[in-house]
Amino acid sequence: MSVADVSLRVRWSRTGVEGDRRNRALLVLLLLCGFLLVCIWLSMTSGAVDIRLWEYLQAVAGQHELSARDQLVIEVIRLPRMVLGVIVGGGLAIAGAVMQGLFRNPLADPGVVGVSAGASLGAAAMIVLGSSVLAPVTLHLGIYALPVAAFVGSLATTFCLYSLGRTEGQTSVATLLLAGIALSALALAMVGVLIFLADDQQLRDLNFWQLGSLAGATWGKVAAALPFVGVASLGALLMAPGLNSLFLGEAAAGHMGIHVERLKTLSIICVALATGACVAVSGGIGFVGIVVPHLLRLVIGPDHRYLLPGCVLLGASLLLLADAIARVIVAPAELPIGIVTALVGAPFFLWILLRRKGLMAGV
Amino acid sequence: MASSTNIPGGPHPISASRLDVEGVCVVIGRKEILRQVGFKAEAGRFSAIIGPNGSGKSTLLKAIIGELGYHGSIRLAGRLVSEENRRELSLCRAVLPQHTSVAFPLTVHEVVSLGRRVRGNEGGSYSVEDALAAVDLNGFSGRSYQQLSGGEQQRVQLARVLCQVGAPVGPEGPRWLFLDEPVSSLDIKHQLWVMRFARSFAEGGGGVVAVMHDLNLTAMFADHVLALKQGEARAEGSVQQVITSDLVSSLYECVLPVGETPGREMPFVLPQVAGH
Repeated sequence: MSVADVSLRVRWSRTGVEGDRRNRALLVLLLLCGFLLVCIWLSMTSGAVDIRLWEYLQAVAGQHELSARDQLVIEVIRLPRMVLGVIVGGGLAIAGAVMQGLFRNPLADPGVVGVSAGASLGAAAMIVLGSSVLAPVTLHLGIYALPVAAFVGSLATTFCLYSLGRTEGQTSVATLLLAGIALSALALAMVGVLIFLADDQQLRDLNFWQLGSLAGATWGKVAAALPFVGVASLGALLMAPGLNSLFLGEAAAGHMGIHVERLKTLSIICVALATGACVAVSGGIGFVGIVVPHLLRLVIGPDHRYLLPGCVLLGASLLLLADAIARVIVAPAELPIGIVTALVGAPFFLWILLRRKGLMAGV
Repeated sequence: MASSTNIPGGPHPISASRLDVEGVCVVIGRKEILRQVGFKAEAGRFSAIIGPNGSGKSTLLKAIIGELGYHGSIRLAGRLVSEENRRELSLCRAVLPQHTSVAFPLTVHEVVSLGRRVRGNEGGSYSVEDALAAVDLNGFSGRSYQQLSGGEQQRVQLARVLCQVGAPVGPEGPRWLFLDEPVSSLDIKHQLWVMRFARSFAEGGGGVVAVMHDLNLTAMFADHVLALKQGEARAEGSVQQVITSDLVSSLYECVLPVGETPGREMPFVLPQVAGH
């Protein structure tokens, strides 16, 4: 018997109706808020410079004098990095959860099925061609040029995937993953062409960005990513009841009064917005979108009204934690965070896959 | 509903309490699955669609509930069944598919709640517990849906559908249940249970349309029967008119005398004589 089955049987609250996990979900959301605060504190205090967060807060309140160096470290390096971590972690997790709800498949993740690769292609095109062919775009969009390009790339891949991976209203895991592999390969090959065209400075930008890191966080990147991830998260939360109806399949959702086609289009746009923005500012940070929703489903169940806010909280927390680990594990150097999430996430992905092996027969 | 009684272009006024299917053709690929099928069902009656495998029963139901494109006209309570009025339709009819798989590990309570959310707390709706009791699944609300047997899953879905449809008659008029082989995976006790429930829904003023395989249960519970074969309507009328030896035999291409019993040495069990 698996963890999920056991957790279904646990009656969390004595007053609640059996099988109704709303009370438990609300409690878990509350706990996750606390966990996020802990992770924020860890993220602000870990690193080469020893910062006492409490002193900084006192300084903000005007009761304490902080050294100029500490002030600089906090306001220019740690704070934007922490905020960006929250945005990217929350964005990646919610994109994963929406995609899994849409495909009715817990293995669908923007990173695994090639949507992130599409976003990479868009962003790489902007980095390499932004000063030449795409110069008018750069001129008009400013700091938003990179996330918009990544958004377009991820939107195109999601639509391709959606039309390729579905037969008669169902997604087959095999088709989905194989189509994802092909689309990733194609997108990455095109990134390869761009690398070939790039000059030295662009190469350095590309290389750094491809590994996946929060190290280059600036307030500019925060400002660029926040509207995208914000709109996507808000949209996803509004679509939660519709995504819940999709649990029973598209036809049943339609009979329950959901405009399924509209829901699908909007979900795809949300996934692309969040993935595009996250990839644009932080590169390829994988597996957050798989690990976070899966862990949450084990505890609070699949109801999107609680799962999606939980994803934002837990995704942000875990990414900050991973970032803190990446900073201290090889100090004074730092590991790209993408490596940390892959080291944890890839075995986790395999674990989910193995548990589903029985269900996968014949697909 | 006053406004729905004079839809322009209709051959005659359409009652709000009827399902009118006229000249429906469905073509899938190059194959014509349904040819000029007409069918009338009324609220307050249990209508059954029978026919051999591949006769187009499920296709007709799918066209009626708006899952398939069709030529011809299908009006439920005066409204054309189409993509655009899904929300409106969802409040006056609910659909029970043959089989429903659930993508994530939901509890029974959560599955039934999905139906309940369509209608909200408005009057005449069932609570999750009441709906589960109505399908003989008391105490199942904490169970994992994916671990139930096929028959139990089917009854959970029926409870979900009940929560969606609520009372047989709402302030806006009668409500409808569309059931695709509702009893095919159930044991005989629960076949009777579900059929009695559907029957009482019809007697309460609601409309029931069911695709049926079991001729005994059809004969017991249906008021009105449509017999399909090879995509065409072969007969429509009361049970007595449709379930006759000649028609049933030609329908299923097999000699099937109606009302005859086997020899004394052969045991047989008929739902018709089951006690409560």
